[in-house]
Parts: sequence; structure tokens; C-alpha cells
Amino acid sequence: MPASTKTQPGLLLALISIPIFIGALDLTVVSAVLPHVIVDLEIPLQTGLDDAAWIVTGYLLAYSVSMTFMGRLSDLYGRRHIYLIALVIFAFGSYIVAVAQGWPTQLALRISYLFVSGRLDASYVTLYVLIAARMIQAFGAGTMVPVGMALVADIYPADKRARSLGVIAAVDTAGWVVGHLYGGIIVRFWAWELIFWLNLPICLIAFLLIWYLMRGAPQVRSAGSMDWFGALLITAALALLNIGLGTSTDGVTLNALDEKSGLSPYSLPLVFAAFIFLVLFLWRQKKARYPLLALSLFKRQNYLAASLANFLVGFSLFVAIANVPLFINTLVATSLEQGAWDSGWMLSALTIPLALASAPGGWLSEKRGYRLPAAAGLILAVFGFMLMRSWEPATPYAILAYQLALSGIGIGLTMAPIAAAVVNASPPDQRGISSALVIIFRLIGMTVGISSITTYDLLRADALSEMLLSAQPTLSETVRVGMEVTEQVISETFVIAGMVAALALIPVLSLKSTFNQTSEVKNERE
Amino acid sequence: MKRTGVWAGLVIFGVLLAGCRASQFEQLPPNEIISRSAGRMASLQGFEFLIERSGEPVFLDYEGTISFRRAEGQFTSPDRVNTSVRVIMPGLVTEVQIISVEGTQWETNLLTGEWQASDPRYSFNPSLLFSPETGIPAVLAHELADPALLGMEEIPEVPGKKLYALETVMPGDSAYQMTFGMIDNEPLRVKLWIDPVTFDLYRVLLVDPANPGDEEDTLWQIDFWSFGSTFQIEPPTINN
Repeated sequence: MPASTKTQPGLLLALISIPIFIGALDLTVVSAVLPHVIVDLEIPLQTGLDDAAWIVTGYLLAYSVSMTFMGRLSDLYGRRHIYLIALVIFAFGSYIVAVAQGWPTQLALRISYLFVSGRLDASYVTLYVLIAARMIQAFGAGTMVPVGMALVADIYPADKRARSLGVIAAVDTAGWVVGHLYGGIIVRFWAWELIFWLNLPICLIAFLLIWYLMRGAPQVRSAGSMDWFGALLITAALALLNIGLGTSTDGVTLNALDEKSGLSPYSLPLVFAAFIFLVLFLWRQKKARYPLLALSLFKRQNYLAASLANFLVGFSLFVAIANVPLFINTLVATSLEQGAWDSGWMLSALTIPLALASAPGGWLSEKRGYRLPAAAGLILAVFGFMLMRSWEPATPYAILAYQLALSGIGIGLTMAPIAAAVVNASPPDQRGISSALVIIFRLIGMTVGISSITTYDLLRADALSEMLLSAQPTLSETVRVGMEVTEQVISETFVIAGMVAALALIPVLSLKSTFNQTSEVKNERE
Repeated sequence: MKRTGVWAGLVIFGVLLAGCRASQFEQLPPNEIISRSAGRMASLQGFEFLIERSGEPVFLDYEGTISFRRAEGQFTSPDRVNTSVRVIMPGLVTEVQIISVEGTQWETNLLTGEWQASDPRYSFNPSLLFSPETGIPAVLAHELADPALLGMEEIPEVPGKKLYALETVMPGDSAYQMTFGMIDNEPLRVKLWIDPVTFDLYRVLLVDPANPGDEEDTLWQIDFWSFGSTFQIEPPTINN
């Protein structure tokens, strides 16, 4: 039963979509401006890269975590309230990011000096403030996606619900698709902080309009209770996984000056602990009276297969998203501004074809079933990634763009069928959470991708540098070897992205055909 | 009446407390405070330090591409220094580890982190800063002119501790020699924060005035802590 409001549902859909778009935009906007931020904060490359990567990873993590349980919270406490609170959280996080180098750092330093002696590195304190603020932002942004979807589901009648949910999913995708370009344009002309300042007036206007226009809407509230323990378990699992995958002994401390980079002894135990928490979460969901996630859905072959494929596609997609700025900034661009600008445009060669190919992917899956377009798309993506492994500084941008477009089209063709496979495999009352799960699995894949690839990059770069440098290298030799090593590492990670995309073929090929899909729908109708 | 008595008691207690606090530290002339601080520093077995540059950049190379940002480390008397130096290059911030032992210096390679003998053209030599002959202890003891006591101040890094705050001038050639040319050969305004009980020097702030064409002064803040600690600083192992 849709909630009645006097306002046009279309207007509300647009209003709800705007903050979701900005939240998703902020997910990828940092990949273009990260080099700027690192230099601006004066974070050293050797010891700070791992930590600085958390500006991206932390956002992805908090975004995914909030999506897992905040939708359920809105079922219990009212969607409008939770959506507006999420909007305020997002705006507050944006403000702290924008002013991180000012009073938040000074406050953090003053508080820290009450407990620690010695001197703290203000650059790192700012970095940690920034990461915390990005996570606050992401928690709000991630919450807005499932709650926005549920709000839309409340507003629209059943026959128009699927399309409006599709609009929210498309807006979310569009946000992170154009994020790099937006970031590149901003830092070309202004300071990176402007990205976060701009969020504030938009959030304020959206807040006032949503608050006013939805004030008469009845608050739909479900019975039952919130599974806080389940929420805690899934949060712990995702956080530990990211910390474990992103942990290396990068910290060359003053007391251990001859330590080498390498995988930290904590990495494997942390990943193992994440696995234990995941198992506990699944156990909890099976036992809980009001679970966050209906595990029975995963017994449906298409649901499980498409979720797995989504995770793997997210992983390989983010390798490309991370590699393009790294390649351009390190090996091609002569200034940070040029690097951000070129990276933004070049990433568009991946993400715009990706977004455009989603439509024919959806059309093909309706005509020919999920398997064919998804598998064809993956093969195309793998082909593109394999071509990218031969990138070198002299490769013309046109070649880079064409190869990125190949992978973008491939991934775009895959996305719609696997999303449809998940949503169509779920009963009507579970389609909201299923739509969110499509995004969650892709995001978790992206989060795991960025953490593990950053660690791989650092370890591999260290090993290759040791192999290639002479005992007493000159500065010019050091720079030359550094560039060769970066080129080699980027090439290897593209191969990894290709292999992971190829691995996604296994679940994709196990997707049921159109005939079965039709049967599912028929069964549902009966 | 009763209330007036309470207030009078509080005022007397306050006056007594202020009197006790004032008499807690010796009323010494500024020269004497600095002299005792120099003696204290020279007698220390070791300490930790942080040198931070803010304002106008200071370049370590002739081409003006590598600028000094900060150095944090440990000193063990008389000439062992272990430090991590952060430098800013175009589009890149990086750190180099430096060890100085008995006049010999090693540094880590920017890329691999492997130890190598220091490039003689590299112009940051931390051991010079703490040298008993030309470094901070010697400058404190002999070179500072017309010191003035500004009062008692706290610094945010050491909350709750009042320190003597003094202002003086350092001759340019002393600063130039001490920093191997990183600080210009001009007289510098210096502010010092010294513990009134132990005479440990907590902070030195040097103000290097802007040269023509510079936008702002260069500020050098040198902090010390872990007074009297000793640190195991040995030559690094170099892999061939």
C-alpha cells in the first residue's frame, strides 16, 4: 500500500535521488584528487600510502556497512526520519572533510596530548581526521540508498515500483561513474576542498524540501526489532577484512630502521577473524527472529550466482578505476593538476561506455536470458584488461581510451543481467533489499579490490625495486627504476583484474536460462 | 556576615596560593635561565627532537626542487643521531632516514628503503645541530644577545606545565653554520621555552625573515622531549 502524499511522486523521486547521486559521486571523486590530497597533507609516499588509501577504502567500507542494516532501521523507525538524519550525517561529514586541516586537526592534537607524550605528526593526524570524516560521510550516503529505495517503494504503487527502484540504482551508478571526471575538473581550477563544500548547500536544500514535502506522508513502520547484534557482526567482518587486506609493514619506525615492507603478521589473522565474524553473522541471520538478510534467498541459484558475479565484477572494475589515475599521475602527467584532469577524462572512457552499455545489456537479457549478455560482456572485459597490460608511458591516450572503453562496454553489458537475475529471483516483498544487495555485493568487491590491490602494489614494487636497483643507485637511476617498476606493477594488476573478471564467468554461466526465469515469474504470479 | 567571611577566606587562600606558585620558581635573570638551560642540554645523555619548517620553503638542492619539511629523531651524546627527514618534491612528499655516528652519515634510498652512504651534496646534517661546539648547546651558551623574559607560558604539546618564555636574537652566522646553510646568514629572532625547575629546553622557535621576493617568513620550530633518555644508535647494515 503506497503511502499517500499530496506531492507528485516524480518530484519526490527526484529529490530523494539528488543526495544519493552526490553520495555516490563522493565514492569515486577522491580517486582523481587523492594525489592532490596526499601532497597537500604532506603525507610521505613510503609510509603514508597505505594509510592514505583509507580515504577511498574507508568510504567504500562505511558505505557498504550502512547499506546492510540501515534499511532495516528505517523499517522500524520511519524512513523519512532516517533519510533526513542520514542526509545530516552526510553533510556533517562533508563539512569536516572540507575543514579537516583546520580546527578538527587542532582539536584532535589537543585531545591527544592529554594522553600521549612526545610529538604527533600533524600530517597524519589530519589524515586520520579526514578518513574518519569520510567514513561519517559514507555512513550517511550509504544509508540514503536503501532508505531512499524503501521510501520510493512506499510512495509508488506496486506496478510502478520496479522502474522507480531502477531509477535510484541508475542514479547511484551514475554518481560513481562521473565522480572522477567531476573531481578532475574541480582540482584543475580550484582546491580539492571545494568538492566537499559544494555538498553543503545541496544537502541543505534537499533536507528542507524533503522535510517539507513529506511532512504529511504517513510513516510506515514494521513490527519486530532491529538485529543490532547482526549489524555489529557484519560491520566487524567487513572492517576486519579491509584492515587485514590493507595491512602491510609499511611503517618504517625509528627503532626498526632496516625493516622491509611486507605483509604484516597481523594480516592473515585479521582476514581469518573476518571470516569467523562472517560465519557468525550468517549463523545469527539464520537464528534471528527478525534477520537483516533473508538467507533463504541465497538458496535460489540465480540469486547466489549473480551475487558472486557482482562481487567479482566490482573487484575488477575498481582495479581499473584505481590503476588509471596511478598510471597517468606517475608515468604521464607533468603536474598534479594535469594528472587529475587527464585521469578524470580517461576514466570516463571506462565509465561512460559502462553506463551506456547497461541499457543494451538489460534489453538483451530480456530477449536472450541473463547468461548470454553477461558472459559476452565478461569476455569483452577480460579482452580489454589483457590489452591494458601493455600500457607504457608513450602509449597514446586514444589507445588507452579505446581499451578502457572495451572493458567498460563489457562490464556494462554484464551489470544489467546480473542485477536483474538477483531482483527477479526474489519474491516481490524482498525486491527492495535485493536491489540494495546488488549494489552491496559490487561495493564489497570494490572494497576488497582496492585493499588487496594496494597491498599487492606495495609488496611487488618493493620486490621489483630491490631486484632492479644497483647497490649504490644515483638519483636518476632511482627515478628510472621507479617508473619501470610502476609500469610493471600496473601491468600485472590489469592481468589480475582480467583473471578475476574471467573467474566471474563461472557463476555467470550457471545462471538459469530465460525459460526458467519465465517460470519463476509465472510461479510468482500464481 | 557568614558569607563575607567565606569570601575573605577564599581571597586569602588565593593570595597565598599565588604567592606559593610565584615562589615555586627562582626569579632568575634571562641570561642565567639560558645559561642553565645550555648547561643542562650539554649534560644530557640524549633526547628526542622534532624540527619543523613552516612558511617560506627552504630548499636542500641548488635547483630548488627538494624542500625541507620536518625531521624527527633521537640524539645520543656526543654525536649519534637517528632521524627521519621529510622532504617535498614537485608532486611528491617523501621521507629519508638518516643515521649519523661519529661524523659518518648514512641515508635510505628514496625508492627501496635500502641504506647507503650519504651523498656529500645532501645538505641536511642533523648531527651539526646538536654538536657541543657549534650546535644548539653552544649557541645557547655563548651566542644569544639581549634575552628578555616574556613570562610563563604553556605549549599545547605539554598541557599543564608552565615554562619560562624568553625572546632573544641569534647571530646569522651561528644559525647558518649550525644548519649547514639551510638558514640564511641574517640575525634571527628566537623564542625559547624552558622548564623553570629542570631547565630543560622544550622549544626553540627561530624566525628567518623573508628575503626580497618571498611571501612570508620561514619559521623553524625545534621541540625536545624524553630528556636524559639514551638510544641505541648504530651504523646501519648495508647490503651489497
